[in-house]
Amino acid sequence: MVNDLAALMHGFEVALTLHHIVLMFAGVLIGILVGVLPGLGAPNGVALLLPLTFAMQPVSAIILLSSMYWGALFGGSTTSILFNIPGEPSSVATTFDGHPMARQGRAAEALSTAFLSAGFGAMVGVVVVTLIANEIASFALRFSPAEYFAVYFLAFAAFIGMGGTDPLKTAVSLLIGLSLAAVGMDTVSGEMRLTFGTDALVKGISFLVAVIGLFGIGELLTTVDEGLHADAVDGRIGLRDVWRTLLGMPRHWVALIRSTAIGVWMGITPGGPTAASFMAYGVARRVSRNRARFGTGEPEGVVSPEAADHSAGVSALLPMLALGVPGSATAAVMMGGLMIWGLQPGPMLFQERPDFVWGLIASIYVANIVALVTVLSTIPIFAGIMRLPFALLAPLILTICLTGAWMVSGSGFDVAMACGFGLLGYGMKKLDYPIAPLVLAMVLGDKAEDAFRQSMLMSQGALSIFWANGLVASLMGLALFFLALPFLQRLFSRSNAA
Amino acid sequence: MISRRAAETGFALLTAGFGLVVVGGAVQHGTGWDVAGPAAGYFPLRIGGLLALLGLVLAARMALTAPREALLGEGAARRVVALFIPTALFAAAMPWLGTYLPMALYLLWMARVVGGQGWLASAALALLAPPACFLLFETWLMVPLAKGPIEEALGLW
Repeated sequence: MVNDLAALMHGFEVALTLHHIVLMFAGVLIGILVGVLPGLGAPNGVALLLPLTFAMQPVSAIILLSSMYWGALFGGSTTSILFNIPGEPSSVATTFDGHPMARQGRAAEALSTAFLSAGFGAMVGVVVVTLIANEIASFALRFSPAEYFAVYFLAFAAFIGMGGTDPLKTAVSLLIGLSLAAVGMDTVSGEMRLTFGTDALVKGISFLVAVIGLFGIGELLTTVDEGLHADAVDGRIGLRDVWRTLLGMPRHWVALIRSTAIGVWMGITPGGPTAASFMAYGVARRVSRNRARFGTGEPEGVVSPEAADHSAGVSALLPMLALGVPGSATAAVMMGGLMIWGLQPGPMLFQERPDFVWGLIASIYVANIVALVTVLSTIPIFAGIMRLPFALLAPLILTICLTGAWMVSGSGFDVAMACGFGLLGYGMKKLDYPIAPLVLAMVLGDKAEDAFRQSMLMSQGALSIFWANGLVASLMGLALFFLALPFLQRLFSRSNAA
Repeated sequence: MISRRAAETGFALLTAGFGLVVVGGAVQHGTGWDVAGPAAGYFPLRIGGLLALLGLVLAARMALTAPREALLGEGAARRVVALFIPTALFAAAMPWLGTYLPMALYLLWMARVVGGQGWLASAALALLAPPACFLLFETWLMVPLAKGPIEEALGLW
């Protein structure tokens, strides 16, 4: 623990340089913009920015990208409240009570409630990361390939069991991601797999291109499908509004703590911020003293999803750093970035690159404060962007997506693939297939397969290696429990009904 | 109009078909055991097989239980096509004509024809965005975008 604090202090020395503070501001501003614009969310914002970081120091790059993530989380809830348009899937639940509040002339209160709850969630999330990241990483040093495969399997199973979507559809989404990850050169034998003689597929399918298509182009197609009905509310926030809301926050302490706990849990076990915010809202609506007012502009209906969203967003970085298993789609894209920069996420990272790990963790503290101040003071400007006609915004955003896909490796094939993934993302959204598992599986696919093949090699083909000791057996057991969870729930609700 | 049931069933069948393609790709390699442990096709064969199986189960379930309501709202299909086709054409033109000319044409078309904006706003968008992109990406961030014959003629490449 004392060592962790010393390491954190060293992290602050890394994070608090002028260069990095400027990067945080830049990241937060780009993030808010990305969060505010429909069709540009945190995952594809990070994917679009990633090619620009290839020449940077990894720690500077991760500070830029993670700051963008925090900015996007704040920006996403802004449009939920002011326009009833969630800028991010994870801020959908914020529309339920945030927008009614804004319609009643309480926009400033709703926005500052959202931002302060989010800031609280983020701070608790990063404290949890600080306290236990090193422990988990040291623990994971004992992992052999079998344990690693069990952890990946657990991550996939958690999505199926706890993602809140149709388990079969989640499984299909995961399997598509795993299949796409297998395309290209096999890391073990060097054979060309699933390329069917196409040269362009030899280098594999870039997860960045997939994210840009699925989240960017797909999201915009969904937006025009549903028709964009922006009913705007003035978004000016005075210092007095913030102060008054801050003084009122302690009233919501139960909701704050409960939702943050849900968020941290859902971030670490990969459920992700979207599932976390819905779950926190759902729980609050069931147990809150003010439950009758939910849906009509109840501040607790803003506090709950926001605190959960941000604590999940921050704590999703914990399994990414300590185990190499990202807890959200955005964390998955960032982890892909780490691998491109030549870093191996996982326990060894804590020993080999403590400056990177603790610089990032320290930057989360600073960047969230930067983000909170920035978002409170710049919201009217960003809200103004949403008043531009969508007919001008949508083609501009798509232009950014396509040029972003080109920048990944300068190939026209990637641009075409991004369009294809756009159609896939639109179809998946339309039919309620979750997209995050696909991205997670694409990033983790090769690692999961390697771990599986190495385990098989160690055991000479006996699957019993996954039950060979207490650790791997309990990981596998937990994963199987998650897989069985949807069936158990159905049995339970049936026997209740009977 | 396509019903939700037809779309759900069709999409599930497509995923099952994709699973079979993966299986087809996997069996071109060893799918069993070789000197280095499980062969290259071992993992994809199982992933693809499972995907095909789950896709079929899902298709069967959707064919029986998904609601028959229309999948797309009023005019939604037209709006989606009007956005996607020009975007796909832009993407297809990029490797041949470079980024900037297709970008200007695309923005002009989208703003003026699809979006119904005035000539002034549309032209401003189409004329200002490409040079802004050039300055941002090529000059400032030093990331090359796609170049074509026009950029070559102008000596920008």
